[in-house]
Amino acid sequence: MFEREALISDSSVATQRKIAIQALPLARVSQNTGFIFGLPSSYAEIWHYRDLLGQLTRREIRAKYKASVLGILWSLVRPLVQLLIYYFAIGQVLGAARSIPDFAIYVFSGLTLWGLFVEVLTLSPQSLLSNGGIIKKVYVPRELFTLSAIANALLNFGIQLILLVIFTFITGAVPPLAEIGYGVLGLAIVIVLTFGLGLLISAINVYVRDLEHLIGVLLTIFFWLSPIVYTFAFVKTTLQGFWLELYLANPVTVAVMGFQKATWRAGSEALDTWPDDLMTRLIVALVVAVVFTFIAQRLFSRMQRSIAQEI
Amino acid sequence: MSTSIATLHDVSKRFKVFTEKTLKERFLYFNSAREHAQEFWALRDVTLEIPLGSTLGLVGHNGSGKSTLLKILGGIFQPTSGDVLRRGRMAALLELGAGFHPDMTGRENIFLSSALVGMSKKETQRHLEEIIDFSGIEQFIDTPVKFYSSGMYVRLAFAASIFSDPDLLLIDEVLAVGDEPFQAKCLSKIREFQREGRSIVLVTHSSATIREFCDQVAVLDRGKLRFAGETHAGLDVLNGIYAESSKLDSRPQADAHIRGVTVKPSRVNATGEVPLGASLAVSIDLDLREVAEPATVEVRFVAGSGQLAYQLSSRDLSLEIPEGAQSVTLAFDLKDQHLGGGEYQVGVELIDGFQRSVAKRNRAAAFFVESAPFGQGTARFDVTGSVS
Repeated sequence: MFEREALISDSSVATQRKIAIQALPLARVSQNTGFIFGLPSSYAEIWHYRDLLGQLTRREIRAKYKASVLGILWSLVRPLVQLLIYYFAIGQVLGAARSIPDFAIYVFSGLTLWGLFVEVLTLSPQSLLSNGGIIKKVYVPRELFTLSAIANALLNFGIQLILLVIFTFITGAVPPLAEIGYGVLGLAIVIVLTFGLGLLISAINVYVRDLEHLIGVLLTIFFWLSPIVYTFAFVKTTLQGFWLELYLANPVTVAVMGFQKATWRAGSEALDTWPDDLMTRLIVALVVAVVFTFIAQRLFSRMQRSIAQEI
Repeated sequence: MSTSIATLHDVSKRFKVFTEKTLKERFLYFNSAREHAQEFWALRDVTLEIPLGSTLGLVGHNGSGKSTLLKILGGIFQPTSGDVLRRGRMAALLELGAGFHPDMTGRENIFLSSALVGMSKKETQRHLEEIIDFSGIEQFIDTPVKFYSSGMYVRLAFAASIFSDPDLLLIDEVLAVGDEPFQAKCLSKIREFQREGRSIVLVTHSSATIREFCDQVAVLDRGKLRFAGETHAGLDVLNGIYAESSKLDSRPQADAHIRGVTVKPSRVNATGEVPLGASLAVSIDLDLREVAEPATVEVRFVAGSGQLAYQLSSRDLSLEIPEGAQSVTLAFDLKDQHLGGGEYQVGVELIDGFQRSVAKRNRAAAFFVESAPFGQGTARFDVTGSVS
């Protein structure tokens, strides 16, 4: 009974809160899905929850390497094994290493960026489904789950990149700093593109779960459509005109080449390894990726409305 | 300028349930897709205003749409039609430990959990001592939560989400967590929230909780808002709905043997509650065809908390049901009641001569007992105290 009286008595905290809240406008509880006007609020909301992104990423990493002795070092095993296989099978046995100088660095450079792309796209079909517990009980911008997949993959990417740089120092093939812009652009393309693709994949996979199987198949095909274990010089001799342009229309292909140009010194010395105006192509690819991702996010914003009840 | 923290206007929510998911199935059943989608309306044209600084209790049957309404308010579900407006900072306590990872320590999970309710890392750090202190598990805070007992788990989860300084707090039946001292702690935290002028919407099945905390009640019945307003009137509406559905329960095909159960108190107070010392007349109509003799009847009073308050068998009173009787009325007169305050459900069970349960109704009737000025539980005493 005493408590009730305390409730009625107008404590100043309560009055202040009341005044403060009354000053706020009543706002609609839902994402503004307007194609243009909803855009700023979407990103403002993601920004507001940036600390959660860190927490989610930590949680994912913890989940992945729980109770393993080597922990995050395992993330290096796969690319290193791939490197060894491609180095011996394609480099030595098939002889590609003879025409590609520093073949190991070349392959590892390509695998590093391609690995980032693959990891995000492999994680994204499950990124909403596996967080169903949160999505069904708490409202947070759902883009965060894709972003945390990217953050996760970036961690592995970072470790591989450090290893790659160490390799270049050991072999004496330290890439010149002048080319670093190509690498940054390549990385930016992959990050922006995987954000857009990841959003679409994660949302569609909630409704049609076949997507996660399809992704694996497509990634295998696209691996061979980018110059990772062979160079662009081979492509130029086999494809002409329209087909060559089509090959280069793949933004990941351009991004991988940009990244290789920045990290593989032997390539920057031999000019004919790259397509003409690679820088222009990188910039165009980035613009295309940005536009695509903006559209993808708007579509996602609409699809995510009914996600909590579909999971 | 309105004085509400949130308003719902003509809100409806339709759910569609698809049964098939793979491409093959979609292809095979393409033409009959519509038949495979079942839909139902979880909410229908709900218009509700939540006044600033109030504590609103959301009540109704299982499946009446309470949780859906709460999730729409929290932004988790989008309404199919209608408008939901809200202002201020909101925190939803719909499930304790949502997002907890078993391999992370208690401390790490606090950061995750409070980030989920929109707190920044800095804010969490500022409240960290308080949160750990509130959860009462300092010793284990750096242990992975998978080693926690379920009690420790919910205590940590509750503590981690309650310090987020919300203007509007949504709670879904999570108040009854932990042991009794911890529950008391949670409840006093809620009181503190009320004093600080925060608004609360709370879903519960306990009339006692509603009576104790809420100044507003909204009653939902199969997706429709039946009542919104003052607490006592709201609980009356709720009891009406419960009574209706227990009538439905007694449809002949459900259990042919227990035809009707009524409870009549000798007197009631202004709000319809049974006062101390009143007597209760329980009357049970039975159909004993095809029941092996000799049959016995058990009557149970179950408190709102689910606790059995009282049980009585016709055998205790040596009541003999005459042999060959087909239709019988049993009457019990329970004198001078000393039950604790709250709602009681009357359950009736018919047991045949082979000690088999022939028919059983758990919510055959209900009554309300007025709250005691002091003391808690299913019994009530006149107490005098002294200190020496």
